[in-house]
Amino acid sequence: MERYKRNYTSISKEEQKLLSNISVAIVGLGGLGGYVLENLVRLGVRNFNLIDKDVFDTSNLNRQLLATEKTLNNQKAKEAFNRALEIDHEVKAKIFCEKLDEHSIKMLEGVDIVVDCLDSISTRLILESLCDKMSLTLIHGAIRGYYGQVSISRDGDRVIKKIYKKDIKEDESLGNLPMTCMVTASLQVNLLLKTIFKESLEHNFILIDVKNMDIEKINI
Amino acid sequence: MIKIEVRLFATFRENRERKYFFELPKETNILDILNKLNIDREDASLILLNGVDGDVDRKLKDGDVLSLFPPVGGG
Repeated sequence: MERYKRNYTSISKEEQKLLSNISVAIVGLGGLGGYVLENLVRLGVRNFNLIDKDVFDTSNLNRQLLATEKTLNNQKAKEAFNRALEIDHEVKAKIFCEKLDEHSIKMLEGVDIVVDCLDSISTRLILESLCDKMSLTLIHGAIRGYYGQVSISRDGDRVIKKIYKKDIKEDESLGNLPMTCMVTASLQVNLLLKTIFKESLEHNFILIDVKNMDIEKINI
Repeated sequence: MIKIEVRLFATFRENRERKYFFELPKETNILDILNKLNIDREDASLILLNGVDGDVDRKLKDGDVLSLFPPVGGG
């Protein structure tokens, strides 16, 4: 297919077909979520559940791909779908413009994998618990300032509850930078591909330091 | 005396080094290191001593590697 000519042969035709058949839930369509969606649609994923309760505001313009002066005050999940359709009119999505909570099983029903692009530690813990109930693999990503992290939360190895201790508070004073969003979101997508293509992973926690331009991989 | 390595991650690197090598008295524990680096106990989310998470009262021994992670939660 001409559209995916430049994906080959880094991605095989069988893998390409697999991507067109999977369904991905992206939870959070801000800094990380916008770039995760962009990557996935261009790679050839066509089925999504897009989840975000928020609208775009001015403070999103520094980093969020889907935030422009035209989209201010618009629902993030709806704008995400519009962007996906601009790239590929065959993309299908279920849109949820509401907050994810303990009862949000329907938001994740029918998907093959979930991507955590949230901006709240407490909601991440709820999301991991939902994924655990539904036996779904969750690709975690988070950023602060020049620093990002990605991880894979799977049945029998739920990492988010290890990464964040109960009631832990974060120092948010360093904000969120666009380079960190882009690198971290891209590595989340790479981790998603490895999972879908059933490649083995040596490490389950990847730490990104954009300031010093290094990446470390460890196991937790 | 014992020699240990401390690795800091993410925002703990702001205004600090990424890695420290300390020579310390025996009986030093993780909380002593946090105090030495001016890190509040409440700010350390993941505290890996030779790769194993746990509390700050663990005593350190020669050759230990301590890795400290703050919670990173933005998106």
